[in-house]
Amino acid sequence: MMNLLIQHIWGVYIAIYLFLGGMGGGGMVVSYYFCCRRNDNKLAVISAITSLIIVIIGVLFLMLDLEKPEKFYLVFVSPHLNPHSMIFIGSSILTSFITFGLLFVTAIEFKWPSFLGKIISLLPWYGNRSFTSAMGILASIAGFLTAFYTGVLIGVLKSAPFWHTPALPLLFVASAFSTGVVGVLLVNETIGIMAPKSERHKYQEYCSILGEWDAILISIELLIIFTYIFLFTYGPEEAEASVYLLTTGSLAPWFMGGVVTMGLAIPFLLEYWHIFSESRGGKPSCALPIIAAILVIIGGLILRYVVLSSGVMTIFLPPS
Amino acid sequence: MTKYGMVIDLGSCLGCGACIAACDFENQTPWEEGKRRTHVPEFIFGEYPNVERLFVPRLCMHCEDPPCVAVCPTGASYKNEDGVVLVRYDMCIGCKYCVVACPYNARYVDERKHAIDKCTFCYNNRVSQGREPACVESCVGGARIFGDLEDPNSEVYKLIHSGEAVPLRADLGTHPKVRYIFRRKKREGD
Repeated sequence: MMNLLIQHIWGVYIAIYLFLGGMGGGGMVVSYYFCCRRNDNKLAVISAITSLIIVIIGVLFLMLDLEKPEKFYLVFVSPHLNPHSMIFIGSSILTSFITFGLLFVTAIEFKWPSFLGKIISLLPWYGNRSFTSAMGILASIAGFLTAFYTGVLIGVLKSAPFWHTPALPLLFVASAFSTGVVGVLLVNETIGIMAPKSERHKYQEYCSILGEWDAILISIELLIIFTYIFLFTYGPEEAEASVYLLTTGSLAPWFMGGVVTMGLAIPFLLEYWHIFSESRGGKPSCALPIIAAILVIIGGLILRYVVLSSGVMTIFLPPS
Repeated sequence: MTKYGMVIDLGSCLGCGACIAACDFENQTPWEEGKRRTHVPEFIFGEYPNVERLFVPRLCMHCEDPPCVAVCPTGASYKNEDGVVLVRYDMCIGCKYCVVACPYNARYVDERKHAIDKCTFCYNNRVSQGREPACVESCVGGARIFGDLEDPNSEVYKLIHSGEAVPLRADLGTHPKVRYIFRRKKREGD
């Protein structure tokens, strides 16, 4: 008999933090693509701002989970600072993400609302293309690292074998990019609705591109999930218990229903259907990718929650 | 140099819980919320007729390579000069990373302190004044033995170096300083 315990210390707030961190990080990379590869500054600026806001809200959730949020500054200035702690590393990554993200957003040439526009146009780097591109690359790297870090934070822990695997950061990165892409897809649709009719075809095209990317990312995610779960059915025993919890136990409705079916399989089919009907010359519409996007976002959040809730550990092994 | 450690002889543990009560009283733990520094869970394993029942007292293992200290961003969790793992409550921001990282489930959130708390081996309140930890002093069966792991004359040193006292989850590489005797070797006169 083993003494199995399920982690219950990190719950919904940390799950939201990990999810938003990943989504914002992924979204920033997509914003860079639209700015500096597609020259669509409007979509790039609004997506990048949305990504920044998403990450900042995520950080607020992390703060809410702290026992002493007012002492968060100690992560950077404690006299006994531990630079090897993933929380310190993560906080540094988040700080650079927000810094480079802001520099990137304010450097892109864009018609800001009047008052804000006056301030931003005064910035020496505003409109500087090479600076925009450099900051975009740095913000994208920081975005990738933010997404990666959300998985590493949990992955470095040996206490629960189900977490201590390279598959976890890879899964979180794939999910971060998938949710980031669909986040931009929703931003794109909002801009598209408000755009004059003559410009709408452009947003329709973007919608298809983003939908295609997401279909690819979802297939990668499904492959990682399958490998992750399948390998852990062979042990160790704690990880087997985690797999049991997720596939047939109390978390099964959330994982099998919420993540795998609703958050991945159905969106994949919807996106595939969209690509298929478009290739057949069907009526251009972004309806299916939008439904898929909403499902992917809900699924991404549930994924973080179920991974946190399935950390099974053992304290005591009886002598053989 | 002193390196404090503890050996728990499972054959002598009655499961009476005196250690829990003494610890709760000494350290004023938030026991009413089920948060304690030491626990005495019961295990029954094997199959009839070879069934064994064990009480396995649990506390912070005061690991030589503590995962809680490794993950703490502010250095609030630290190992002192005598090898005891402690928390600087004023430096703790309560991120709970250490609670999640500890493979022995030894830590809890103390809502009154707004910080993480754990077993201290009664370092400040007893051991530094030459007394034994409350759980050791109160143990009816004498199952808990406390001492200096670097002193060759201490009982804990002898029990560990004879190979009789072994760590829990040695596979994790944390090198716990709390060791367990599962089956005591027969001695002369036993």
